[in-house]
Amino acid sequence: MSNNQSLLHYLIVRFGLCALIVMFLWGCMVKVSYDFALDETAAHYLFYDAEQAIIQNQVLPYIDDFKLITSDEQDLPAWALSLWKAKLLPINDIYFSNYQEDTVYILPYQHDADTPMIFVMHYFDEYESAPILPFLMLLMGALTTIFLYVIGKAAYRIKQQTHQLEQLITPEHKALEFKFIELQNIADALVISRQAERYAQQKDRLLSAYLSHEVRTPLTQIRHSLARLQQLDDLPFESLSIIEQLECAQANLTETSTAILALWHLNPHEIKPINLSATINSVAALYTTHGLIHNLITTEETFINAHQPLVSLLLTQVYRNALQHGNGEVTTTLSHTRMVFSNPCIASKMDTKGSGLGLLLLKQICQKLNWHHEIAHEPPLFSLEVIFSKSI
Amino acid sequence: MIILLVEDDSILAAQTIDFLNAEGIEVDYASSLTQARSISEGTDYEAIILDINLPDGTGIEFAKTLEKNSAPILFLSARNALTDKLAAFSVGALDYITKPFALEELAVRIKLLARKNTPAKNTTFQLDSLFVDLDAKIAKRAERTIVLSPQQWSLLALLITHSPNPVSKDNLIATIWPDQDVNNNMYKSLVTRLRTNITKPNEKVLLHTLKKQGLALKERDDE
Repeated sequence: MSNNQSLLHYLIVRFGLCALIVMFLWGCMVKVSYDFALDETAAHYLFYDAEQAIIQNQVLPYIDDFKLITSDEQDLPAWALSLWKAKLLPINDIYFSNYQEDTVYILPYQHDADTPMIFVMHYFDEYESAPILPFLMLLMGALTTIFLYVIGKAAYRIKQQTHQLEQLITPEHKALEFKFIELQNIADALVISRQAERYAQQKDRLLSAYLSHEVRTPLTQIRHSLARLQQLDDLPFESLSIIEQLECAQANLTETSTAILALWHLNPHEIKPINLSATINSVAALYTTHGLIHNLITTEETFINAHQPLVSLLLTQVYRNALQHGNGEVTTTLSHTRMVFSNPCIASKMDTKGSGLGLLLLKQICQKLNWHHEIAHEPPLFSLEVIFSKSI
Repeated sequence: MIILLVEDDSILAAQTIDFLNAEGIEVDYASSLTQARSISEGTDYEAIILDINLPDGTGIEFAKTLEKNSAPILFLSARNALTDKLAAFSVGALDYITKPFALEELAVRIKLLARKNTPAKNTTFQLDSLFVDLDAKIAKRAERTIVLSPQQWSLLALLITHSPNPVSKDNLIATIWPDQDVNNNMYKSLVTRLRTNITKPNEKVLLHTLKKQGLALKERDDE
């Protein structure tokens, strides 16, 4: 059975219940205060009794356990009479006093100067009247505890549910059931989006594998055919340079296609420590015949975790760009954290902006390898700094 | 040497068979497990090359049915996941090559696998980073496998026999083309191919043409 409920409902029930408890307890307290005249209502009832005595022509004195109403000051207790005579009881004003075990309110009431004075006294026994302060403190304490408990429990439950929701973000986590409808809706949306993402990734992988197969199969056939050619005797001397060119082009095509496929879908198993100084030298050597003058500055062999064909493709783009926009001189400074390429730009080639595809490819490679790159163009020097990431 | 190749890609299989034949390796070919079972019965192979994905099962299943002391198994598969490799090794594979692969690498690995079961002869030669096993027909320069044609093997064997001394052009032609008219182009082609195969850019030159003396396989005196 699903116990799903709305977060709004959940909060309303809990806080509403608390409010009802508070209202009930407060009502009880008000009633006690009212019965025992523990609030300002005492004055009201003293005046009320005095006026009723006049209006109803009540037979005075009226005496019971709780009050005395009289028009004769001689009916007053001795202590009250002495206070009256000493003019310590102000007319039409409430006087409050503790006498023996009683708490007494006295009202000397005179409607106007022509009417006789009426004395109203209300007695409250201290032992019968519960002291309100401890009750109030107890009540406040209890209410605070209830509030803290309810809020704490609600907060804990919400936290628990949101934590559950966070767990859904991890790819391998299965669908969970939530108490709150709102969170359940978010969770369902997350699960659907996760499934869609997985499906898209799966499709992407399949397409990548298909493309890889489609590209590599003919490349492998070319490679194997060239290897077969190497086994044959008596090849014409003129064919040797053609075969060599074919082999070189096949190797370049294989590496470039591997890099392009890796740009689309990088297999983590293909990330391996590569000798960067050796790779730089070998790629640069391919372009020395085209006029590249390469200078590698490094103190020792540098091994970096990376994808060999992607790195080769990056270096290819850098050296090609240097040939296209510079005078062919490139200095590569290599350390364990970064490599910096710098080449002078020729004024006559400054307007040869190219299509920018080389740079775009370079940026994508850096992004794929989680490397950071910075380009600085301060004529006559162009420099590219590639900072390696430790996370790959 | 005779081996069994079980591979369902007929083009790849044809290229592999041609290449291995030229390397002196005879190949029995099967394109499915059923075919492999029927043709391998009663034949002692020196090595078995298995693809994993086959039309009627997997190479792993086939390897499980082979006896423990059967020929060494080499898996040839497009699957490059670690789990696939571990599964292959767990059924007794001694080697695993992922597609796409280089035929020359496959040939060397087969030769090395087969040689494990036969006593090795002392026919190896080493010069700088060049390693040659004349008996197994394996030539390597550092980590690079070298593919040589039969004539290039003959020439290399001749040069190794005389190394570091030179072999004259006449002697060379008489050995490689004993009953054939040879023109200069054929000679140049053979020498150039061997030189290119032995020495790639950034590698030390080992094959030298000595004026009026002939060809010598050696490290240069001034190096």
